[in-house]
Amino acid sequence: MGFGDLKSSAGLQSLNEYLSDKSYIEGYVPSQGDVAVFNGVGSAPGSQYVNVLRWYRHIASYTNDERLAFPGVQKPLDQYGGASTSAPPADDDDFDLFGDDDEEEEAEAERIKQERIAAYNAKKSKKPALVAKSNIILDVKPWDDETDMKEVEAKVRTIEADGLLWGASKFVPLAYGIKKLQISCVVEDDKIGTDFLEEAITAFEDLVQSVDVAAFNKV
Amino acid sequence: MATEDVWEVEHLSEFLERESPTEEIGYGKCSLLSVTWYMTQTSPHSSLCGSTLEDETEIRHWIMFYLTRIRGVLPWQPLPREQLFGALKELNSHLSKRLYVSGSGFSLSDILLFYGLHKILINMSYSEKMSLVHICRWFDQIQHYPKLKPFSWLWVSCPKTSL
Amino acid sequence: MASNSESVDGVSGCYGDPDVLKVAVLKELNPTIKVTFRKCTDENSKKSVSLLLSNGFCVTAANEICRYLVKKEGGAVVSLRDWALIDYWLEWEAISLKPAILSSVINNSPSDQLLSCLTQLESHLTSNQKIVSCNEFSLADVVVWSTLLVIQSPESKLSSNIARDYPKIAQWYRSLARDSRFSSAVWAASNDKGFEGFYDFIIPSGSGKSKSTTTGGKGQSSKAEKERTQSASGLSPSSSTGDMIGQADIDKAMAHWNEGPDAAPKPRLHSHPILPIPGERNVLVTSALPYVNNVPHLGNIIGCVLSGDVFVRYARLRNYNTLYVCGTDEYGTATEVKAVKEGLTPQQICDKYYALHSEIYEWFNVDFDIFGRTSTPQQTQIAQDIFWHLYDRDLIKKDTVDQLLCTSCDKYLADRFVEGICPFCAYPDARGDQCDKCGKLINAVELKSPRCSICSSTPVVKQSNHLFLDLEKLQSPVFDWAQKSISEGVWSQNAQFITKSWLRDGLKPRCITRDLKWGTPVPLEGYTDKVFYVWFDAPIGYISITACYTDQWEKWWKNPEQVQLYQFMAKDNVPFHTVVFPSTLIGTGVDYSLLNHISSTEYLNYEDGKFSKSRGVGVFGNNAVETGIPADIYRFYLLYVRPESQDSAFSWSDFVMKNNSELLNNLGNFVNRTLSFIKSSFDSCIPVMTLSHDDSVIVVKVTQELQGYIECLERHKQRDGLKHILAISRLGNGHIQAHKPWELVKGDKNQKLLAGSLLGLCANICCLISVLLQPYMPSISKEIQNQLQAPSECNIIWDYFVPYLPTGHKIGQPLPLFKKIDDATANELKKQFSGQKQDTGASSAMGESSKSKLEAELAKQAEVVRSLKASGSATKETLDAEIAKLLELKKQLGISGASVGSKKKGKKTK
Repeated sequence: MGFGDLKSSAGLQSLNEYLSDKSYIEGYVPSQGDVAVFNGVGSAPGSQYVNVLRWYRHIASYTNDERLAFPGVQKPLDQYGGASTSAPPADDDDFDLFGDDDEEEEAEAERIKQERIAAYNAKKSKKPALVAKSNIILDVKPWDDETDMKEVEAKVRTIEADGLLWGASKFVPLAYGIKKLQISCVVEDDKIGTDFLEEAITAFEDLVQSVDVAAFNKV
Repeated sequence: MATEDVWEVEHLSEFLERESPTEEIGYGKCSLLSVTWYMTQTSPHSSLCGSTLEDETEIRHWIMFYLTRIRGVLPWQPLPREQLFGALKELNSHLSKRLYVSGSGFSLSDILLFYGLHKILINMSYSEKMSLVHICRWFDQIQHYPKLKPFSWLWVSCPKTSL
Repeated sequence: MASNSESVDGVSGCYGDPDVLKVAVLKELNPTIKVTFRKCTDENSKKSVSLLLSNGFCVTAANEICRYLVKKEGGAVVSLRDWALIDYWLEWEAISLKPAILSSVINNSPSDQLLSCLTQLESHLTSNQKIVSCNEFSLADVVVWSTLLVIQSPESKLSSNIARDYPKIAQWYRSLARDSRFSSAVWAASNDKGFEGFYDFIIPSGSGKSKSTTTGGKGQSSKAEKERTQSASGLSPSSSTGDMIGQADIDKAMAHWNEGPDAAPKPRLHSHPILPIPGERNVLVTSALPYVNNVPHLGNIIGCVLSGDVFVRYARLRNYNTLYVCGTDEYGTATEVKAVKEGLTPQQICDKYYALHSEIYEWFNVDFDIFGRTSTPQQTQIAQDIFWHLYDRDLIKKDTVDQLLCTSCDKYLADRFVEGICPFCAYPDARGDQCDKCGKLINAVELKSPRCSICSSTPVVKQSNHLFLDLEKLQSPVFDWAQKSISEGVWSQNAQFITKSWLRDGLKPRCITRDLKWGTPVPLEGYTDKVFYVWFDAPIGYISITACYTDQWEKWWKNPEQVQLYQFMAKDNVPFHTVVFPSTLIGTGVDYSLLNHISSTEYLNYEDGKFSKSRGVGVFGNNAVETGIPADIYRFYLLYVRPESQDSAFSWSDFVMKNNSELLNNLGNFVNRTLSFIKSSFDSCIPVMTLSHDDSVIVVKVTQELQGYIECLERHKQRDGLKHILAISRLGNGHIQAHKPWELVKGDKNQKLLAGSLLGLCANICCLISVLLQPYMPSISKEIQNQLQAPSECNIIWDYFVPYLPTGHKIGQPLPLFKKIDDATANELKKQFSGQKQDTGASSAMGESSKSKLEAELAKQAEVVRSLKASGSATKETLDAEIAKLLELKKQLGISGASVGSKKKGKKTK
């Protein structure tokens, strides 16, 4: 149990290993455990103990009063970090849980996990899957003023695809009697891209000169 | 722009107990740093933006680091793997010296990097994670932060180095 | 951790890094900011800009460094909300704009991301003067501006696209660029290299590579360009400019409209000789003197005389007291050689070509006050006078020169008749006076492996006594003058760059004499068998030609207080106008009028290559006359593609497209439909004008375009000036289209009144267009005014749009202004000037002959097969073999036929 003599290199080595995967001596917040070990180390360790140094500097960045206000009760120094000799964790999802707090910690982690699953499921049932959708407005320009815009619109609306829903449309005058078709649609981002739309519409090459995306908004 | 921005802003607003400010400042959701910065500064948790100009600059530096080097310069184009790992190594080495991303302690940079890295770490193999132990240690610390919700409910397992 | 050597609070970065520019601009705004620039020699030394904070943290995110510096300085209080706006744009710049720009610069073609960024910024700037206007400049403006600078580089094909497609960005960019703090930051952060410094930082692999990518990207970008222009011209103007016009704008513009032309200045009558008038804006304009024995090509014409003409015509319309001087540069070896070749005297050669030049410029409608020549007694007198002043002030040095003598031609070789390897950059085809590759001036004897450019034999070095102008002594006054002139005048970017690099390298004594006969004789004893070197002599031609125009020439040339000197040229002439000639004049100690403003163009290419007289590639002045296309159309297109910030190209297909889309469909259509409608529906009289709200919005928009036009022309942005005119006619077309006067006239009284007002407004817009168009297309301008029967007093450019055609004014006969040019004509012309006239002729003739040969064989073979079949005696094998031969021949013919047919270009669908 404990790290041994924290003034010795063996003790610092042991503490260094202990802190390689932890931020604090106990749990996920600074506590009296940190203060006890901090006082035990006494001064900043050499840079070969990178993990100790990181932790030490952090604890040192608090004032003495702040340190005194850390939660918990100080225990004898040799009661910290003793689990360094315990067996490796049984599975990946395990947490670094040591000493007497093992059970409690695990229960806490499990509780957080369950909470999250519950929250997630609740959200999921309310909002069935977050499907990314976009509202796109396309400008479709004809070759000339003799193009039948009604026909253009009809053709465009013949384009059908999974995740594509055509919306309102109107004819907007350009110049010299030419009108363009402005048509909106809602697409599912994963299924329909603007490239697809442009390609499909310009395929009516007898009618359509160009297609531009006039607006693109996430829904 | 990227839909995850929306997600991040929504969750941050829950964490900060503050409405999303996108309408107040008139811009859309394609600006993760500026929107979250503003909403944090105008929330009860403004200290997450640092207390001095130096802290503030450092915090923002790391958020920019995340946005440009890890999230991908263009959000709709994922970064090539070598570039991503280069940046992660840099972050890992930085975190070998820090408990939190920025020197002053827990800050907005931890939160945003936590959001972003969750998606990356969840898909990583054990050995990949072993090469980024300091990131994992930091991440594990942050994912235990009270009330902070990650990208998805999945818990990221962090490898143990101390035996 | 603080092992970095940088001091706390000091920023360090590489020269040429656009991020460093951001900090450099901040430093100009607040000099207490400390910046250390470091030279970046290779990829490894390229480090991002960094700042060490007092807490030991080293920041490398450029925008965060800037943000820190600005916040630290304190200054004006900026609210959290304003910071949120600034932060938004900082983030946008770092995440969207900058990566898009870098990749576009590297590929030399704008990426989709870049275009979408620019569109976003354009729409933001349509409703905002600045990106964030909480302060004089916000940090957001500084940061975005610095990054956009990269694509302003002359090397980049992107800058002109931006100016055209994103006018608000261009306007905003220019307004900041004009701030001297921004421009000095550019020099400071680029180690005095200007744009090029930033470009080289991004693409450091040397000019060789960037050149190849330039040509590589061309095809793509021009296609993209085409597509965008097509869609742009299809847009109605109201949707592209937005409706950001306030009541105050309307009130102001309408006040001037209602007051009418009385408040506007009246056109000034010019009578020769034009002399400076004290208290007025006296403008002396010169165009580079074309060398006499070259027939100028379209690139030469746009480079100097035409650009000068546009400015002069504009200046006259602004009532500036303007004199336009040009002439042929006649002295030199080239003339001597040509004379020998044609069996004439040099004087006869000059007379012959002078007439040719005069004719060409006259055809192009270039309106010189005098088009003179340098081989005059005035030239001798003034050049010698300047020489004696320099001599008396001890600025002439004597020295011996090693000179190259070609023994086979028995001639001292003038610099331009020697070629060899450049001593500086090893370019193999450097000329004796200058290297085309690195641009450095060369002494002919320094060339490695010199060769005579006439006979290619190796010349020998001989010594000869010569006179030198001691430029070293003049370095400091010339430097002071240049700094002052650059900061006070309008200088093209390339002119500033070339001049600064010359002065930075230090001036050296330069030889001013040559062993020739055909030139201005040197008056000094012992040197009287020599003449002045052409570059000492030729610029003096501006003065002597003026002296031929009026004996009071000194009122123009020795009057720097009252005269503003504007000089137009292509960029290869810059050092002689901004360094050598001013040095000469300053050296005399006489108070000469020195260059105030310079417009120097880049080069115009022809289709995909260069103009070449010897290979017959490209359109030369005399060819243009023969094409039957009016001069104004050439003027329009040349100015439309004027190589202002980068090289551009004359392309026949683009020429035809611009004629048909911009002139015929836009401008011509607007004028013609307006006039025809007034003729048919209002009995050729301008109706009563009671402008509606929509009409007055058009008045405001036209006024804005007019003011943009004035600003462009004052700053020699002639391409952009032309775009403003086209924008005005687009506004007019859109207005007519939106209100359909042809329906209104059939309606009730009020609707008729609306239609009348609208047409009256449009007629007055036509009148304004005719005036603004005058510098660009003088004949078309006259034609429009003729059809309008516009009063001559309308020929003035004032800052406001006022109606010169009152109610009741009777217009003339409307006629179409422009003719459609079809693609076939374009292809014909393209072929005619492609330089392969003989070749293509021969090959197609050969094609024809082989085709007829094939046909003959086919007929013969068919006969063989027929007779075989008829005889019935042939075996199946023989028959099959002969039929196979027949089919083979048919196939060959078929292929050659198809390949001829496929030359015709199909209609592009995408």
